Amino acid sequence: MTAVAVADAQQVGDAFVDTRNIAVQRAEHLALIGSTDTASIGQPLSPSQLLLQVGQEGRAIRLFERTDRPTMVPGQGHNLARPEPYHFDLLQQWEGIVQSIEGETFTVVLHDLTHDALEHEATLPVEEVSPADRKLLKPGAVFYWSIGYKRHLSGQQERVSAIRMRRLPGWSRRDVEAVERRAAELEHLIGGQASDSSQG
Amino acid sequence: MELKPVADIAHAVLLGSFNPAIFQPAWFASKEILSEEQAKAANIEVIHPEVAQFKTDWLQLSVTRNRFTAMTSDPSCRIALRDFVIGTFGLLEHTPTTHMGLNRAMHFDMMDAERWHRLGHRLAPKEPWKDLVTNPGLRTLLMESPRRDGLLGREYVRVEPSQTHPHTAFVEVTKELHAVPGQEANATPYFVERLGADWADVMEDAYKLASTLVLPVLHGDAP
Repeated sequence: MTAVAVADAQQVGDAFVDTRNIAVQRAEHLALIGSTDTASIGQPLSPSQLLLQVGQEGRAIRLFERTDRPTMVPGQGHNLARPEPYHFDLLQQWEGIVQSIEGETFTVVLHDLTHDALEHEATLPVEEVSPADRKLLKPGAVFYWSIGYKRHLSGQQERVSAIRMRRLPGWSRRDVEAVERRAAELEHLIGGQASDSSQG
Repeated sequence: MELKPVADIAHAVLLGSFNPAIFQPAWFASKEILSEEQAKAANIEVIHPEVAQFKTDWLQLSVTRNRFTAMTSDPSCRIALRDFVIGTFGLLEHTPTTHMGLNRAMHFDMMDAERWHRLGHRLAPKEPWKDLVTNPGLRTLLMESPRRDGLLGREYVRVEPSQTHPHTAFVEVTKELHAVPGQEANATPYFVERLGADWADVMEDAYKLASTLVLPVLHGDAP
């Protein structure tokens, strides 16, 4: 199997070894380097790590995985990920259920996911919901409302309030079967109680 | 003191047998798992019979023939990530899968080099190494255990120096779940059910675990 070579380096450190330079080298190699035999790599890649085989012209031609073992043993991939241009510092998040919509506002019941506080009602402006999500805004719909700071790498920060409607597609056959089973159980239970009470 | 990660990545992984070519933004939009706008704005890196990989403003998806990985680095979208995977495999319930991993990876600023090194010393004492190698340093530590909830699977904790932030520790917690023996044919609905039930607890537990490792060093309570 051919795969990307990952340059390694011996670095002398104290308790922790500062490998940020190696990370940059790795990221560049993942993007640019030609194929090389993995046997020559000093540090083996994790089984789960995506390996990019790159053609002679430097064009990615195939992406595949090593599948030595069916395991989730974490590799270094997420440590190597380049930082996003911003970090979202989540201050508070609610799960909301739409109760009703009245013109430009909608009434909701909010459950605080951050502090596990009691539910409370609120009225929110429809314009808080992105145009893409507004068609999902209907009684019974579930949404998540997040407030926090978007901290940019440049040092700037902005306070953000964002509502995201829950997106779950139609019910699966299994869901329908589960509901039908539950309905049958309830019907049996209610029927049984009615029967019991009629005897009393 | 509340410990706030400087970067916080959540990801859900399924191992099994997948058809990467179907995992396109347009497919997710057609099933209303992503909005039309998100699908149109998605940055498609590759769509191929062997691999599909694209990004939206909050989601990063990578699917190969044997691995599905959905990831977000936006903590406000962790629940959306859970719903994305539930929605996907609620529809693709007959996809053969064998393992599910729920993961949270966090970078914690240790404030200075001294505390950064102290965390490494605490987790990997250098005494046994001092006569064997010169100036030993912790490069990576991977701890493994059975799941604490009794379900079939393993837990992993990985600690490393952050490779993207100075004087920062990287802590990744992985909870791996295996299909129930004899119930492999129903593994995907089982994983979807567990994902819905466990996601919030897994995320919270990962943070608590990482805090327990890192906070005493930041406070100066740990040797």
